Amino acid sequence: MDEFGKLGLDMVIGVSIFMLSFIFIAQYIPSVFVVEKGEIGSQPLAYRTAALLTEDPGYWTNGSANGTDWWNHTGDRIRIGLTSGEINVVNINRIQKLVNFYDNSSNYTAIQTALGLTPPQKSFDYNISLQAFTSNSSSPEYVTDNGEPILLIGKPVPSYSGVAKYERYVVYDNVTYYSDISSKLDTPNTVTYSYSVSPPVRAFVIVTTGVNDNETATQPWMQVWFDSPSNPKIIDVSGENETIGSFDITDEVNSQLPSTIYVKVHNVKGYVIQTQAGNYIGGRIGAKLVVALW
Amino acid sequence: MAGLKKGLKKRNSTLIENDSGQMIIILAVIISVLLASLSLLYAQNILAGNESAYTQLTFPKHEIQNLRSLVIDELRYQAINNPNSFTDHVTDLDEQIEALYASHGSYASVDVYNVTWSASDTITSFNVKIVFSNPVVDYESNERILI
Amino acid sequence: MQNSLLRCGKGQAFTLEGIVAAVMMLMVTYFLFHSTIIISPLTGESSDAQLKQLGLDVLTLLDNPDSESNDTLQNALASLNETTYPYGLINTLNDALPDNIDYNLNVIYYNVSEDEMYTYHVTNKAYTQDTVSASRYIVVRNSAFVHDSPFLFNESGGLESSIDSEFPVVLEVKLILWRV
Repeated sequence: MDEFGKLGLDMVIGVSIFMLSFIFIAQYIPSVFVVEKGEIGSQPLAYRTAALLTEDPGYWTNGSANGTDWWNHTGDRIRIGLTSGEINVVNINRIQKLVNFYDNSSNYTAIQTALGLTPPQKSFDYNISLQAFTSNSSSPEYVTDNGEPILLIGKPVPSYSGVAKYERYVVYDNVTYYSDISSKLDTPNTVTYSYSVSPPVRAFVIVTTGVNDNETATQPWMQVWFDSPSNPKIIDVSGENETIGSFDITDEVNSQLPSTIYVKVHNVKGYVIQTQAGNYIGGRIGAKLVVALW
Repeated sequence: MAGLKKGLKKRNSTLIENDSGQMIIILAVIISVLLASLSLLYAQNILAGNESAYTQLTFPKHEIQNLRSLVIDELRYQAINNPNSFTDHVTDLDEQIEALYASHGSYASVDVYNVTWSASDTITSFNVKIVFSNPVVDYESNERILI
Repeated sequence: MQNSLLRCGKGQAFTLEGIVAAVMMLMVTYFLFHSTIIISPLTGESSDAQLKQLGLDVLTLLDNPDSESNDTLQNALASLNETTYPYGLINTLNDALPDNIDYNLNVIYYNVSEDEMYTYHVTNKAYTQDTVSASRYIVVRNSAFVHDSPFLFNESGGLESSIDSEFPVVLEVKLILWRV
């Protein structure tokens, strides 16, 4: 038997070429799976988070008792929701409670758990906000109240791709809560109301709900103009059929940019709203809930 | 090493006659088979994303919510305002709902029973059964509505 | 066999074997993991699901029988006839939906006595290939319609003889959406 160990040079070369390629493949395959899993997993998760927020009132339980006022029981296991029963109608109280809960330090991870954003492999970062209907991802427009965004929680959305985004349209359960101007129109006689505005506004709406309670004999009418009475009338209606209703003059305000709006009414009952909290849709103020996960 | 020595000795012969174990090639074949099965896993991964998107599109959550709120609000109105023609109006509603949902390939129907009346000829409560069925989902709810 | 590797003209079987093995594994990896037969869900159906949800949400928000605003589904469809176009509803839809989305709005209703389904086209734009539809069902009472509304149900007979002003008319409002 030959006692000299011989290692053929070309076997060494062959084996080393093979090992090099094997090592390359072994480190490449997991990276393929990781990238895809992250992107695929976050899209349904964004849908689920948006659906939870817009269709569910929330839930808390400590094993023996439970309820839907999750903000009072943040020490127990909670699930966050923003409606109070009706689907797509967000409850303003819950929005404020969520913002307060987030603003308290170190609750970023508590909200992650409450929204189910910590699946076994990976914790997802989130950005949840209420934006105007016309907002898009390159230039987001947050709906505001007194200059502050009404709902904007989470980390800033990163610019690299792999961010899953889902949007739902919602309305507030109270039309006048977030308004800059919210004034009643209520007179059996003729009164001219004036409102100073600083356009652009998101919604300027005049709603007449009926004739005044005290005097129902005369026909109601309404005239609306900008700045000077000699300007053409934006609204000029008379008679119950035409006068009773809602008038959304947001587009006129934003295109003609007046500084004062005059509303002259006779024998009506109603209200005027100007708000930056959303757009007027179907008789209510609406916005877009955007959930971004990565 | 015997095979190796044999291989070394037989270097003069052709490659084909050299049948001492080509371990490297065999390892490569085994690894390729493993890669093929991993790619199956990878494809399943992508399909999982597609499946949940497909489910979002097709699951009739919205139809069922719409049907329930529509039916309950309208029946409540009819019970309060038109108690005498209540059952007729329920039938009218049911016929239209059946036809409209059938055009989408679903079955939906509304049924009212156990209507209780008060002494002054107003309806005080009734039971409503709402059924929705399509190839994916079967839904039935029985509720007692109190006026 | 000569001393120098370079001058040896005999094939180095192991080197060749290693190279062949490496090339084979790399080719298998490439073909299996880079074939783009399957479309990534981010560009395929999940964006359709988002579009359909937007349509459903808009219709849900506009389904508000308690409001007198002229863009709610109930008010817009009750006052609709050959001469009155529902401008309020169309303007609200244009404002609410993103700019890169166009739509058609149809109303489908069922005539109980004739056993016929009718479709009323509120808008009539040309379709593209990739459309998604979102429907919402609403109920409007017969008395709310204007006298020449296409949805007014004033035939008698049929299975029930209760065609009166409180007859509940079920309308399917169908929004067909596509990206432009």
